[in-house]
Amino acid sequence: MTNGQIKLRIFPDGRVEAEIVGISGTGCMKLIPLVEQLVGGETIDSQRTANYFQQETVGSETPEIEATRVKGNH
Amino acid sequence: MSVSLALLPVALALRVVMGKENFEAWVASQQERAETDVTSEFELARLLKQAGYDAVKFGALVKTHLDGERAFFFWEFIDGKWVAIFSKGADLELRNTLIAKLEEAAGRPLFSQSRGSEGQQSSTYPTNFVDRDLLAQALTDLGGDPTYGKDGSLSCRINSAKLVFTKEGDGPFSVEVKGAVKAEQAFQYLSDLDDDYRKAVQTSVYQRVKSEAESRDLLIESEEVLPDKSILLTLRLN
Repeated sequence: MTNGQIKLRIFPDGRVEAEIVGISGTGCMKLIPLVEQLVGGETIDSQRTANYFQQETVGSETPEIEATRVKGNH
Repeated sequence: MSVSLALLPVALALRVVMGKENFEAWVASQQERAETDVTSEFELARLLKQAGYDAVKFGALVKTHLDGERAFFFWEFIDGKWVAIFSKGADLELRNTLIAKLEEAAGRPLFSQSRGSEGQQSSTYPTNFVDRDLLAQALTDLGGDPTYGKDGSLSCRINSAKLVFTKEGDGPFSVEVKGAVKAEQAFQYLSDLDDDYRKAVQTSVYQRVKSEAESRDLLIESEEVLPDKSILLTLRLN
C-alpha cells in the first residue's frame, strides 16, 4: 500500500492537468504512462516539483529539470 | 514528491488557434475578382448609375457602395477590362444582386465569372477536431444534422451554408464552408462549434478516466466540479 494519489483536473476546453503525489523519487515518472492511459492522451509538459528534488538528491547527483513537450500528432 | 503533468487528449489537436483579430485580417486580405467585358470607364459608370449604384473615382480605382453606405467594393482596370474586387467576406446576396442589376442594365452578360453559388463560394479552415463521433455530437448539439461520408468525412448544413469536414489519416479535420455565408459568420459558428467540441472532449475524458480506473481497481477518492467548470478527480494508488 502507498499513500500515492493521482489528481486529475479536466478542463472545459479539453486540457488535462495531472499531479502524481506521495510517490518517492523516480517512481513518479514511472506512473506517467498510467496517467496517459487513464486520460487517453499524451503528455505535452511535465515538471518535477521542489519536493521531488529534495527526495531525489539524497545521495545522488542533482537531476536536471525535466520539461517535456510532445508535439500533438492528432 | 510529486510530478505535475499537462496532457492533451488524443481527441484534441495541438494547434495554434487563429484568433479573431488574425482571422479578420486574413479575411480582409482575401479578395475575389469578378471580371467584366466593360472596357471603358464611362460605360462602367453609366451602367452602375442605371442599375442604381454609385461610381466614385478613387485614384485609379472606382468605388461602388452596396446596401446604402454600409458596404463597398472597388473596380480596378486590369488588362483592358474593369474588374470588380470583392472581399471574400462580402455578402454574397448583395454581390449577386449587383451583378444581376448590372447585367439587366447592360442587356447582356457582363461578367466572365458569373454570380456566386454554393459550388463557387467555399473556404477551408483548420480545426482542432480529431474525433469524428465527438464532432458529430458537437454539431448535433448546435442544431445540425450531420451525415457520415464513406470517405470518413462529415457533412452538415447550417442555414444556407454546407460544412464538409475531412481529414487525412489521424490528423485533425479541416472544414470546407460552402455557400452564401460571410467569413465572419463562419468564424463565429466554428468558434461555437469548437467550444462545444471541447466540452464533449471534457465529458469523454471524464467517462474514460472513470472506466479505466474501475478496470484497474483504482479507487476514486473524490470528484468535484470547480468554479471554472473543470472536473477534479483524485485517485488512490494501490
